Formats: sequence, structure tokens, C-alpha cells
Amino acid sequence: MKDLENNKFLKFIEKSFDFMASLKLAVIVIISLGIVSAVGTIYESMYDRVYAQKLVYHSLWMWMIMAALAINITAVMIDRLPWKKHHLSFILAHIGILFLLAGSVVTFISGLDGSMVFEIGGSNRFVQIQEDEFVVYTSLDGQKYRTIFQEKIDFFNRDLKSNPVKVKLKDGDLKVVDYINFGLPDQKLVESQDITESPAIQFLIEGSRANQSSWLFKDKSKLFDNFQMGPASFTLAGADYKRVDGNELVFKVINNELKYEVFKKGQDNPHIQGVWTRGDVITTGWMDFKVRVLNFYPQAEEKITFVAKDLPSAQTTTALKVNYKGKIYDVGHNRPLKIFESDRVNVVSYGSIRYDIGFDMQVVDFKVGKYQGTQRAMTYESKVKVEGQKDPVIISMNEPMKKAGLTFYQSSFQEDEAGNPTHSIFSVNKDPGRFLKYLGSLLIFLGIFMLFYFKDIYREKYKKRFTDTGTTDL
Amino acid sequence: MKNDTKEIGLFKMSSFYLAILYMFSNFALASSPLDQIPIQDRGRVKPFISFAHETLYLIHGSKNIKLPDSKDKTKKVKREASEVILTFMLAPEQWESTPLIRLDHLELKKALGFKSEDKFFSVQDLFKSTSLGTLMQQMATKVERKEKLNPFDQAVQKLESQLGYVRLLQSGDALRLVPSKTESTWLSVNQLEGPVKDKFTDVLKSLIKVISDKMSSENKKSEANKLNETDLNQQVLAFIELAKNENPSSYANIKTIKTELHYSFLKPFFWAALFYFLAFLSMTLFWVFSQTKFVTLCWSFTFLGLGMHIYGFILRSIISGRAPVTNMYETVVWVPLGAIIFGIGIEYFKKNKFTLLGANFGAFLCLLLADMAPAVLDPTIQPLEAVLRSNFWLSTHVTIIVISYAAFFLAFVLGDINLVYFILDPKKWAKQIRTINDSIYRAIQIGILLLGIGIVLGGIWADYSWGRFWGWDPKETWALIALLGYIAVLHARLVGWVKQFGMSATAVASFSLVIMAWYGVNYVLGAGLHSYGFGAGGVEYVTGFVVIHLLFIGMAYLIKERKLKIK
Repeated sequence: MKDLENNKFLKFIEKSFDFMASLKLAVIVIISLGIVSAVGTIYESMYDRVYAQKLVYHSLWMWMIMAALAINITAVMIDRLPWKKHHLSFILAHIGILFLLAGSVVTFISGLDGSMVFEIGGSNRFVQIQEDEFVVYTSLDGQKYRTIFQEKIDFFNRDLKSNPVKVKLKDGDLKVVDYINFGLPDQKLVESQDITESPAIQFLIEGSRANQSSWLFKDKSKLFDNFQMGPASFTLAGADYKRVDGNELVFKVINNELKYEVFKKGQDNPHIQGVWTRGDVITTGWMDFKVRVLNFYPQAEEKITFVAKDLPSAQTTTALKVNYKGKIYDVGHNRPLKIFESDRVNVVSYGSIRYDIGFDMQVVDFKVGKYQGTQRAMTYESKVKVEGQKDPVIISMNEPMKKAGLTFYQSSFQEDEAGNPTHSIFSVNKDPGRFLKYLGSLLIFLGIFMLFYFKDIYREKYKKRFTDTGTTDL
Repeated sequence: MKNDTKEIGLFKMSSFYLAILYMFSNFALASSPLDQIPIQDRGRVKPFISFAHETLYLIHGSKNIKLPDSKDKTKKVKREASEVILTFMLAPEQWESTPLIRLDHLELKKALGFKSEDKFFSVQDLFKSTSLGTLMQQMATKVERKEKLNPFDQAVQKLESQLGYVRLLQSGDALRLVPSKTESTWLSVNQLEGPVKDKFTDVLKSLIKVISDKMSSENKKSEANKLNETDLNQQVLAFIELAKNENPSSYANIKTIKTELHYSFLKPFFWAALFYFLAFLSMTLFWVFSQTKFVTLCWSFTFLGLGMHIYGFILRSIISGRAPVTNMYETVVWVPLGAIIFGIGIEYFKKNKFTLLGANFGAFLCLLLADMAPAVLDPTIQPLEAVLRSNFWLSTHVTIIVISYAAFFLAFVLGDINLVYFILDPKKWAKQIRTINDSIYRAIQIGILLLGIGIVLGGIWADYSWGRFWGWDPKETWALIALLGYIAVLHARLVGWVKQFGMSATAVASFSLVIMAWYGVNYVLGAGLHSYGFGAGGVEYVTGFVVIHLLFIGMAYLIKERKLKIK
């Protein structure tokens, strides 16, 4: 009885091994790999590169096909044991594929593939890579920040409902509720609870020559914010504002109250002034303008929301929606969000992981060579100073720099509207799988090449049915 | 070719055809003296005739222009491109009202308020249309926002550049004929000063005489006319000399200019196509009459075509200073060269006479296609994108991949021939079918080897210049998919899933993958890093081509099955 069961088990093992080593599986795997790759290229054309990679090339499907391929090849090579001389080409080509796959896995796991952006003349020591992290900092004084949460999270593949991202803040929980692939940023001014010393007003100018509303936002870094309309000027001023002569309406925020002063050209003192209350109409006395203040925020901040789009464009970015105490906030990729609590401020950041390369680099010069008589770039190169190195290095297209196990490639540049380059962009890589991939490629090449000289390995097996090039069946 | 008489015959034949060729090339060279003036345009220095052809093609959709005869307005007379281009500057007002600008996009014509059956429109017509400004503004906004342009936007963009070029020609700004002493951008004719300017005026004066001769006189070969032509020629040569003296180091290499003139008049690829067609015809005659002299004839035509083909590539490489496999046009010309070489090789070993037939037929069709569709396959020589300027790696990986397509192309053509045999009578032609399948199998093997090497070299290049061995870029991914397709065929053959019919059918069907990798990625998907080869047009024809072949396979299968059952 036991023997029989063992037999059955052995038979099952044998059968499944035969299947794993079979050419049929090989054909199925090859075709599936082709189909899945093709789907990936279609996604890339419809959406973008990153999306296609997440959805297809780095998906579970792809891993499964690759695993099946590896198993199939390993099994078929075991099946052919003991190897004979005429197996050489077959073994080389297939071991080559295994090496290539192994190299890819090594690269995927411990390789580095990122980019560094340098303002021309500026320094940098951080590589941005494609993976994202979610970080929350907190601060009591707005100066010193402490990290309270930091985690590498692949939001694309994470089901936020069953596997939520939650961070405990002082007054309540912060929860990531949604992830947007293609978010179009929409900027708005809103009232803030923070003592920002950054007021904002929205006002409407009416008259025979105008009917226009506009925002003024004097954030902490500015002395004033100004809106011009012909010879008239509208200003939201801080305490140290110095006026230039002209027709001007000046708003000031003192003790959370909005005060206004109207000046005429050539006069040093205002001819109208007062404290604004809702519903007031300010008649300027010049250009028959009537000004109505529509909104007044003693403390304001810019708030970005991200509108989910179906397709990516140059402006869209990935974004998160977070819930804090029942309110929804948007956090854009690499655009941190502030959340204020009773006695502290929290910064919620979602963005590329930055990797410290361990030394400073500075792009001291950048040159673009153009094709004669055109604006088309022919060559470009960066002159780079590296910390601890005396002489500057030239990094140009196809001439990378190698240092500390990393390779720096000149990948592109940005220019201003006048066509002058402003930023130099390097791609930075570390590829520990390189040797395996090159070795694998070499073996595959040798193997296929030898197939020309060694006749079909299957000939002996199906001798009767095959001619030189296959079955004669029509 | 084993005995002497045959060799002599071959030699005679070759000299005969070369003599014809020489005659034709000289005939073609008799054109305008203006053609040879070097001009800086679109990133390189070229002979004036190339500039004239390219610009006229952009504006008018043809390299030549036919203008109404001065006496009989209903008659139209063909004018030399170089001379026509200069008259834009001589008589700008006259060109304003000439229906010159070619518009093909139906929706754009509708949007501009034009009749859809009209093809050519004058600058005046266009500026009368009220919507032109708005359309251009909308397109510019899209470009600024880096949005994807749809075919309509692309048509607007093209119209804008057509109008722009007309303006630049009228003002003379496009005619950068003299190198600057200080900058890399050459001086346009209206920036000229001193003796160069005077000499250019002399050239124009002589040109006016020549043109008025052509417009008026009945006897085009009169002595006076000849004198005027000679005078123009001398003025042009004197102008070139003066222009060169302005800055000899940055002036054109006259030899290269001459080479380009020679290339553009000789049209080597046209001749290669013709010879391949004759070779194909000879082999067909052999199959009809079974006379071996036709086989010899086929071989000699094949070599003539091959010689012309290679010569054309050498000329193009000299002109552009790089391996000529950088855009769609060049690959469509490169593939038949590979197909012929593989065809000759396989034919030499297999001696089945089908391989050479198929190779010549395929090569002829490919070259014909390259010549017929300049709107899709742009034959002009353009400067390379910065990333492609590492010449060695570019040449090797692209050349090898494209040459592998040639092997698959050969297999495809042979597969088509075999399917015809299956439709005729699979049993009667079983032997032929098998020999052709032998060739197909070899061709696919060669293709797989080359494509594999090419993909790996592409990976090495990407690793070398971007630090990424493999990045799932659509162009490389589709090359891989094509490779997988053929590898699947070879593996399926070993299991017995692919037999004789399957071999032929898959040789045809799998070529769809090559078409996708070769054409589809650039023209249909339009994404990825290999964007320098992107273009538009022809999608409906290529799709039709693929679909018809798939239907053909299906039909061949059904007929073959029925015929095998009956007997």
C-alpha cells in the first residue's frame, strides 16, 4: 500500500518535472513573455513610462513569467544530463539566459538608478531615485523638526483600505486615504490657523474702464504684494512698506484688522482712510474706481489640491489624499504639506527617496554645442568639481564619470526661455548585476552561434520524423 | 559561371549596362549651374540643389514645380528647382498669389474654409482665412504645454513651417550662402557686404537672363542662350570662390558637395531597384522556359543591383559622415541590401533558385517603397540628435538589428511564395515547398543570431551612455518581442506544433512583429527614448499590408487542408 502511494507520488513528481522541462512550456512561456511585454509598450504609449513599469514590467505577472522561464530552463538542462558534446551550444545559450535573469534580479534588488539635478554653478550631493518614501516631521517652534514617521511605501501597489498607512499625531490620526496617478495641481489661497504673518485679500475693482477681481497675498518673505492696473496701484503692505508716488490704494493688516489708505498722485498723505468691514465700498477718487473687498484672511496659505485625470500630461504628478480629523488634504509628489495642531506644526512629505552619495559635487560650467546655424543641440558637457579631487572632471554624453562605485552620466539639461542652459541633469547608476548580464549575453551569443554548427539536438530523438529542418508533414 | 564563355558574356553584359548607366548619369547632370552653390541649411552645408529640392518639397509637396507658360497660360512648364527657389527673392509679390502651398489634411482645409478637392493654396488665400491665426495659436499653446500633438495639430504645424519657409525665401533670410568670419551661422544673402554682395547681384542678373530665355524663346538651344548659360556658370563659380575666401576653414568641402550632387542626380537606389527587378524577371523566365541562361542573367543583374546599392550607401556615408542607418528611410533602403546578401549566400549553398528570386523581388519592392513615399520615409540627410553621436555603437547596434530584419524579410518573402504553392497544390509541389522551407529556416536562424547580438549590443550601448542595460524602452522591447516570436517558432517546430505549412505561415506571420518593431513603434506608439526616428503617416497602408497577409495565411490554410483531404 505504501509502495503504491509512493509510486503515485513519484509518478506525479516525474510528470510535473517532465512538464517543467518540456518544450511546450517553453513555447507557452516565450509567447506569454512576448504578449505581456507588448501590453507594456501599449500602456507606455497611452500613459507614461513609470506607469507602464509599475503596471506591467515590474508586476507580479512579469515576475511569474520570469520564474517560469528560469524553472523551465533549469529543468530542461537537468533533463539532458549527462551532457554530451553536441549539447554545448544548447547549454551555453540557456545558461546564458539564466545568468541574464540572475543579473537582472541583482540589479533590481541592489542596484541604484536615479538622477541628480544641478543648477549650473550649484552643488548637490543627493541622488533622487524612483522609489518613494512617506515621511512626517513635527516641530514645536517651526525651526527644529523631528522625524516621527518614515517608511518606503509603494503606494501604487498598496491597497490602502486593507493595509492603511496611519501616523499618530498629537491631536489625532493622519491616514492616507487615496493615491492619484495623474493629479493636476490646482493652487488656491485659503485661511490658515498658523500664525504666519501672511495675510491675503481678494478684491473687486469696478468702474467704467474695469471690472476685475484679483488676489493679493503677502507671505512672510515679502514686504508687500502689489497689483497694477494702468497708472493705478493696489498694495497689500507690511509694516515696513515704503510707498512710491502715484495713485495707490494701500491695505495693511494691523491686529487682524484690515486698514486701507487711498493716495492721489503727488500727495504724501492719504485723502481717504479707514478700517474695512464687510460690505464696505472704497471709492478711490481716481479713474472712477470702486473697490470692494471680497475676502480677507488675516492668516493665509496656498493650498494645492490635485484633480485626478485619466491621462498624464507635463503638469500632472502623483499625489496622496490624507485624512486628518475628518478633513481631506492633498500631498503632491515632492510637495510637502503642513498640518497645524494646538502647539505644533507637522510636515507631511511624500516624494522620491534621496540617497546621499557621500561627497559634494559642483557643476562649475556647462557647454552646449549646436549644429551649425541652428538651435539643435549637437553635444553637451558639464565641468564638475568633486569634493576631495583637485582637478575638475568633464562629464559629457557617452563619456561618464566613475566614482565610489557609482557612474555619472550626462543625461540632459534644462534651459530658460532665451535658450540659455540653467540646469544640468545626470543620471546616476550603480549596477552590481552588470557582470552577470554581460556574461550571460556572451554565453547566449556563443550558444546561438554554435547552433549553426551543431545540428539539431532533438534529431536523435525524433530521427524518423525530421529532415534537416524539421518534420516533412505538410 | 564555370566556363570562360559565360564569364565573357557576363563581362560584356556588365559593361553594357554600366555604359547605359554612365549615359544616364551624364544626362541627369545637365541642369542648372546654381545647383552646386554650397548653402547652410537645417544644420549642415549642402549643395543648393538639395536645399531647393527639400524646401520645394516641404512647401509644394514635390521636388519640381510646374508654372504656367508665359505665352499659353493653359500650358504648364516644368522649371528647375534651384532657379525657382531664387525667384522667390527676385519677385516676392508674384509668389504671394501663386497657388503654391500644398495642403493635404482634409479637416484642416475645412477649418480654413477651403474646398476639400483643392490641393494648392496661395499665401494670400491662407492669410484671407480668418481661422488661421487662431489655429496656429492653439497649436503653439499645446507645444508650450508639451501636450501630445494629434494629426490635426501636426498639419497646422506643417502649414506654419511652410508659410515660414516662403517668408524666409522671399526675404532671402533662408539663403545662407557665405560663411561668417566670426560665428558658426553663415550670412544670409541680405546680410552680405562688399564684393561678395556685388558678385551675388551679378549671379542674380545672369539668372534673370537665363530664366527669361527659357520663358520666351522657342529655340531653347540658340547661341545667345548658351552664352547666357555659360555666363551664369562663370558668375556662380566666381561667387563660390569669393564666398570661400570669406572664411575658408568653415566653408564647404567642395568634394563632398560634388559627391552630393552626383548622388542626387545618379539616384543609385533607383538603379539598384531596377536591376533587382530585372533579376527577378530573369529568374521568373527561367521557371517558365527552364533555360539556364536566364539564371546567369539573374545572377548578373543581382550583382549589378548590389553594386549600385552599395555604391549608393558609400556616397550617402561620405555625404553625411556617418553610417547611413539612422532613420526610417535609410533602414528601408538598408534592409533590401541585407536581404540580397543573405539571398546570395543561401542560394549559393542551397541552389534552389527560389531564394534569389525571393530576395530580388523583396529588395525591389522595398526600394520602390522607399522611393514612392517621401512624405513618410524622408530621404533627406539630416543631422543627428546629440545622444546618437557616439558613432561606433550607433552604427553597430542599429546596423545589426536592421540587417536581422533583412533576414526575416527574406524569410517572409519566401514564406509568401511557399503559401502560393500550398494554394496551388501542396502534394504536387511538396519538394519545392521543402526546399523553400529550408531557406526560410536558414534565414530565420541568421535573423535570430543577428537580432540577438543586436539587442545585446543595444543594451551595452544603453548601459554605456545611460547606465541602463535594459529599460523596457518600446523600441528595444519590440525588438525583443520579435526575437521571442521567432524563437517560439523554432521551439514549436521541435515539438511538432510547426510543420511544413507552419514554417511558411509563421515566417509570414512573425514578420508582423518585425514590422511593429521597425515601423510601428515609431509611427504608431510614438513613445520612448528612441524618439529621434519618430514620424507619421502610412499607418493605414501598413496595417492593411499586415492584415492582408494574415488573411492570406488563413486562406492558404483552408485551401491546403481541403486539397490534402481530397487526394
